[in-house]
Amino acid sequence: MVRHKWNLKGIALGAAVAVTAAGVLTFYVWYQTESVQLGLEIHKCDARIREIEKAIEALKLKRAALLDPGRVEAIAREKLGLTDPSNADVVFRTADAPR
Amino acid sequence: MRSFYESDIRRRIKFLAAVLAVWCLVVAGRLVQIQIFGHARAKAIVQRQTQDMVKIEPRRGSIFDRNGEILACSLDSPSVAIRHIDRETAGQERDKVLELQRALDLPASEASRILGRLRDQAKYTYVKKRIPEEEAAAALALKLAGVELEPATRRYYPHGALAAHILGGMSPEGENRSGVEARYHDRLKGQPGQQITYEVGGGRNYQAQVLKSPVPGQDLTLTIDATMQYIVEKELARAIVEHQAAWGSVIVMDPPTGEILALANWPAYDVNQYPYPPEAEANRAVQASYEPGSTFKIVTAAAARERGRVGYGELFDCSAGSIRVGGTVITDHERVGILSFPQVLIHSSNVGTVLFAQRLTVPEYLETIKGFGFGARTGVDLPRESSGRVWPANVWTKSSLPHVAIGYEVRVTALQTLVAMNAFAVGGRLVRPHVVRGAEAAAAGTAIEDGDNAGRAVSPKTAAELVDRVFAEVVEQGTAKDGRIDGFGAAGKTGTAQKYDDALKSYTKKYTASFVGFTPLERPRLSLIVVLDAPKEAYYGGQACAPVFRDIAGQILRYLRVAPERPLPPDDPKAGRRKEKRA
Repeated sequence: MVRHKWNLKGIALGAAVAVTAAGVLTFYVWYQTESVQLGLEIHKCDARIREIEKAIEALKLKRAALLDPGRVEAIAREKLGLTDPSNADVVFRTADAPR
Repeated sequence: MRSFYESDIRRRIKFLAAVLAVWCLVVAGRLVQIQIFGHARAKAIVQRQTQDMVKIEPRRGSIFDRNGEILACSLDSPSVAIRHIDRETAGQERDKVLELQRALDLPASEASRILGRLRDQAKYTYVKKRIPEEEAAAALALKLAGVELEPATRRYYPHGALAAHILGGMSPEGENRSGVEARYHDRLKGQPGQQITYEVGGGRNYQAQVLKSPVPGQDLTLTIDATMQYIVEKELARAIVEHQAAWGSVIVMDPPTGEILALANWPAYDVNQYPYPPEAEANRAVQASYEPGSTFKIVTAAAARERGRVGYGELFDCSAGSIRVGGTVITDHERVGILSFPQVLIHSSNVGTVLFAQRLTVPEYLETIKGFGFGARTGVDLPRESSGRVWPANVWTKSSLPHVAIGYEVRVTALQTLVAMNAFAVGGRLVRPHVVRGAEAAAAGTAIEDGDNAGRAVSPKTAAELVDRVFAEVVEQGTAKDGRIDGFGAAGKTGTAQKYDDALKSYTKKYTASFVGFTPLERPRLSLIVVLDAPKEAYYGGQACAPVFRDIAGQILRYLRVAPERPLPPDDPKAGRRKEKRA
């Protein structure tokens, strides 16, 4: 009967290669998964940015329409009963005037 | 001798080689079939694909006022379209169109039109053009094969009719003919993109791929102030109603820079409501020319003073109330007696003006007229500006100089007159008026910069003297007394010109009333012209237009928080009540 002598060095090398390969593979899979995940999140964020930009545009327009001088004057005069100030009601202060 | 195994291997190799050869022949044959015999068909397919190249409309640039208020912008407004699908039955097509009809609220006639086109195998049919995004999304949510959205935009003006003649407006198809929309179209429009649509699933559906993304247009900032524009439009509309005028124009300009702060015409139109009424679309402030009447005396006075042909202390006998020149008679609106040179202008005496104008030669006078920019476009960055009309010297008759001196036989635009009066406000210098901020206009290829000097009309000394001794007095005690503004000095000149009827070949009893001026006297902040065409009853410039100047300038100066030059008078309770009532 022949007794095989274990080549410990070879086994260690093989194990190291196997572990490294498994590590690289795991890292690669993790990296790919993360990339895809991040890509999806970026896509979602882009869509959200577009939505928000549209909402901002819409709000700006609404603001412009609400601040229309004709509308503001009509509300001031008709709803709030405001009138033009008289000359005495307006005080002008120039930059060099005493405070 | 070959063994059995060797012979077997050789046999197998020969068989494989034969199979490969046959395969190669089949491939070659197919290639020949496709490339040579099927050339025409393949070409047609490629052409069909390229014909499905769709242009992607770019987002048009927005337009803002000088304070960043949105005056015009583009909203997403896609069009719903449908493509013919070969494998669909007539029933499937009908069901699809009925679903679209319900979702988009289409009239029956429109549904049958779409169905007719599908049955005619029309490749691409618009179902509904430029609709709100929500409506388009509802149509897309039906997930009907061949139904797609074509990106598009529609122009929206949040302030409606405000600044209509400056903006110009656009048709839903994106056509523009006037205003800054037309003038700066190249800058606003952007660059279109390209999208290819191709069949997928063996012609059961379509897919689109963007080949080139559209480049959005650039934004534009105007010199217009939305609040001032509103004040001007409100006061002009009020004056039109009060005087029952046919049309009217008002322009407000920043004297040193030439920036137009507000420009209004009546009749006006809502820029969102296309098509626009033709009678309202013209920007009369820059496109309509008219005989100015007495406002032109500012040029006559400048020409005479600049050459030293008249002194401020000189007296003119206007007591006859009329003067005969070249076979025609020029009259005054009333007998005014003996007047000094300033008084001639303060009371707007035609007779007195003719008397000192006759001391000028035609070439001298023409030189000053042209020096003020009459007979040529001001260069404002708005389309279809009129240059007015100044006859060349060789066609002037003996009566031409006296008539031109009082503002007849010459045609001007409101803007030209304003630029001429503005020269007195800024020491004799002509500024180039513009509606788009200087740097942006320059970027668009228009060489306009703020305060751009378009030439010198009159010397600073002459300009200052005429303002102090004449034009300020016109407002203080002359024909424009109704144009006095509480707390501020103003200078200006009224004009009332009889209108010429081309059909009758004579002057009529209709008038063009105007007032042009600036305020305050120290460091002027506003130059302003008011023109009313054919006002009834109170048709003099001083009656019809000077009060409009006063009302507009008073409100704008308060809006700009300009401190009064002199103490404000106590409020007149009656005036207050009148204001309330009018408001």
